Amino acid sequence: MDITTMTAAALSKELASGRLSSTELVSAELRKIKDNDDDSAFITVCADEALKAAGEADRRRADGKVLSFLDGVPISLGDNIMTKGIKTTCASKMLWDFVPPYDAAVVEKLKSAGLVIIGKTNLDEFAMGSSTEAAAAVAAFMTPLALGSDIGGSLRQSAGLCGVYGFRPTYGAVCRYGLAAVASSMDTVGVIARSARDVRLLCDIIYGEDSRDASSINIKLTESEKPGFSSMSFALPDELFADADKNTISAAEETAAKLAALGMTRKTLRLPSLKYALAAFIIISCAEAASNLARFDGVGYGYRTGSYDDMNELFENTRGEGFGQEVKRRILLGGCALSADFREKWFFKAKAAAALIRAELDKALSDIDIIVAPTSANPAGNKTSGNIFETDITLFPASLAGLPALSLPAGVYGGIPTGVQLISARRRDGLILYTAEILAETEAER
Amino acid sequence: MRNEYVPVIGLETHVELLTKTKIFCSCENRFGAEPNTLCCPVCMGLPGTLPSLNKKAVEYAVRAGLALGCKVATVSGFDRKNYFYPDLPKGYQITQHFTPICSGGSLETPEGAVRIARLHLEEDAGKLFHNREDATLIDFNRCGAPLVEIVTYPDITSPSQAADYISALRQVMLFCRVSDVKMNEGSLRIDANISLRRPGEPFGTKVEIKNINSIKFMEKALAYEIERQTALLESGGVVMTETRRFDEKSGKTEPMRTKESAEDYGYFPDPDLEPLLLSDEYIEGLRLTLPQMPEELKSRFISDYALSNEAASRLVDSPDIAELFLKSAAGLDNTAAGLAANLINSSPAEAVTVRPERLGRLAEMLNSEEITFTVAKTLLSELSSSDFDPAQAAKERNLTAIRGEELKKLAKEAVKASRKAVRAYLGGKKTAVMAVVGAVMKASGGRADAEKARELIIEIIENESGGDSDS
Repeated sequence: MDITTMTAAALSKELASGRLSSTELVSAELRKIKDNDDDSAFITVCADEALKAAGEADRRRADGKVLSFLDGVPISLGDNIMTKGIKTTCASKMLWDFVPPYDAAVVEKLKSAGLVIIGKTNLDEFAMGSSTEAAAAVAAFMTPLALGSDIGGSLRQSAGLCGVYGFRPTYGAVCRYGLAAVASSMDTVGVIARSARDVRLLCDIIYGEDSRDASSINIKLTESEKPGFSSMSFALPDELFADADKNTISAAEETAAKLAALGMTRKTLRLPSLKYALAAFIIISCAEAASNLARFDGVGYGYRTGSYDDMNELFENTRGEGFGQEVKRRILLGGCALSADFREKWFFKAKAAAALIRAELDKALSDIDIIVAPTSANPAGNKTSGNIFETDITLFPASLAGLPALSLPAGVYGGIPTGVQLISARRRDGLILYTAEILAETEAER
Repeated sequence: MRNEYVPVIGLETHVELLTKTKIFCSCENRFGAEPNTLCCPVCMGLPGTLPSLNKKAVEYAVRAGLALGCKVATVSGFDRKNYFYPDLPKGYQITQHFTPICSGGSLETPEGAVRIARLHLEEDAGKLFHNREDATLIDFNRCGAPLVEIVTYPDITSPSQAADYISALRQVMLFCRVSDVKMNEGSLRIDANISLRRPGEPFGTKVEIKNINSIKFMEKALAYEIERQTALLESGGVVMTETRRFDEKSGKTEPMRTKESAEDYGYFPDPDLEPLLLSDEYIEGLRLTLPQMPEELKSRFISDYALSNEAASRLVDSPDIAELFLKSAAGLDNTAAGLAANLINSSPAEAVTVRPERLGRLAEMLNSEEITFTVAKTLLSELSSSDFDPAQAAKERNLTAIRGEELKKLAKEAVKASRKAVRAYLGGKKTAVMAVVGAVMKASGGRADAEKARELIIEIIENESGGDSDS
């Protein structure tokens, strides 16, 4: 069997049995990347560092000092997650040569659990738009695990389109320190894997409160979340199916049927405030991005223009040359939303809408355990142009309300994989991960 | 008759807090270090970094607010002020725009109370150096140093009242021990807003004078602005809304930038920081730890120890001096306490390093006439560099006061040896006696009480001359 197609859990067992070494595994993944990565899923491949880390993992295993269940297993990171000594570009000219002097909190956790960072995956500039490459790297068997960022749901969307699992944890469950900030109130580190179990195993490692991030919270993915399905319920809210094509609807209905077969009750649910979701998301994410990206001014680090005569030209030319079109467009929109003339009308109204959506979802999720929704309403017609205005509304509820959401593969229609999301209340990450695991098990038994 | 213009002045004061570390990272917060040595990814604004709030900075802000009689908010928050400047690495400053931690409050000045509108927490920016031809250099050490900005209502009506307000503010900040308020090091900086109007008329157009770094310059800058704006208005001109700076050499203010297109800072709540929630217990707990403020202490010194207004005022120049006096005067009677105050005020810089019980003992020895003031001062000076028992030292080193027969003997010898001065005294030049006193002091090695010696000498001279002096 090709080891690069295996799940992280299966690889862990192979490593534990001694049939496979981390060095062999990492070498196989590196070969895969070398042979197949013509489409540049990776910006940086850390071959030397990864082989060194794999060697250390093998030595630890020989000494009986294994750091975690996933010790020695490779993982890729989106190139907006800071890695000490390894170039981190955010796929922007602005940071083309930037080598961070520190690791992101999540990278510290991976390293102390013995995972091997195999490379940094590509993304739309500053993750504005999609970060398809994290999911593609897993789907193309270049790595069993990947971390990326989920702001408006691009991580889940690309997982759905690639036929792999994509998970957005509860906002704050994973410390954001070291994830280049775009939309701070929604930025999360997200997980891509080949199984729900792998997602959970990785979350076990990267979760945890951290004083460096004021929004971070402690969530335990304990066995106690193992659901008693007969007392639980789920719903497929109409608003999230408004634009869904028939394949998407049947994929979601199939998942619903499986949940019902587990004993869960189907309920009806209306979420009328979701009509504000797209507008609220655009305004809040652009406003926060405009402010967060102000630090790229050519002064301290990163790209600096070659031609300027004074301070303002330094700023204007650096930013004019360093950012791409989409980033500039969002910065302008965000700056406008925060200006004195529009702050009340746009920004604060968007925050109020987000609060409304959050309250509505919180109320719904105090009664209903799981919301089932398409990952993309219309996968076949999906544009990955990165145009925010064309993105599906299906991804925004979790982003705006900080809820955990898992996109799981739900079949292939017309050659295109389709994803279905399971969304639960904040902190109930364990519930949807275990539910997805059980769904996969029953699938396997059939 | 034409009404004179009157100035309307409001002050915004930035006070740097003396916390050990910066407000949003754990870098050391210290003035005077090598440039760019007190920096980390957080205060340098590197991508992915996040602020974590230093609770000490909150505590200091609350203390400062309480000391100024402010109301402390149980819910406040941090906001981003967005603007581009090379000393601002994140491209925004974290401040409290929508909800300050403290509001209300006031400070007394001789010309009336000055109301405080708000006191809020924020981070400082770095420092630019333009002293090279080819480049501007940046020191990021100050980046992220905790500040409180204290904003008054436009209650101030003269440059001298503005100066009194800043002096009072400095003292309060010193006494609640939240800042060293050294204007030359930038730990207290002033922006002054000033407009003119005729009494009863609405406010005029205001001009802001930025970054004033001494009280004297502030007075000069305001005086110059009053003159400039008066001349402008009287000649039929209009005052423009603008930001000006004070040029120390010319003594004039000059425009920095016009505010015609008012800056838009795009303020919004910082999504990286949670709302700042303070319980009533926390606030009241801090209120209890607040030391007495200078005005209070001064009146207490006057009423409890019968000190003169001047002596009491000098003791509240610094909280360390005031505390030293309080501790050393504990258990002393009023006369001894007064002597302790005199000793401290005679050389505060030395006294402040002396243990209070030593100082108290010196005052007692003075009070019981065991030593003279001269000897006490010498011992105080020695005690400032090394600790010892002053009573024992006085005995061992033969520094105890010369009194009674011994002093009388010295006085007689001095009168005998100073015939010229005695003749002058008898001839009506009363001050000539001081030469004789000087001789006694010299002979005693400072161990004689000058006043006692003077009385004895006069007595001896008058007795010798048969009392025919005309005194």
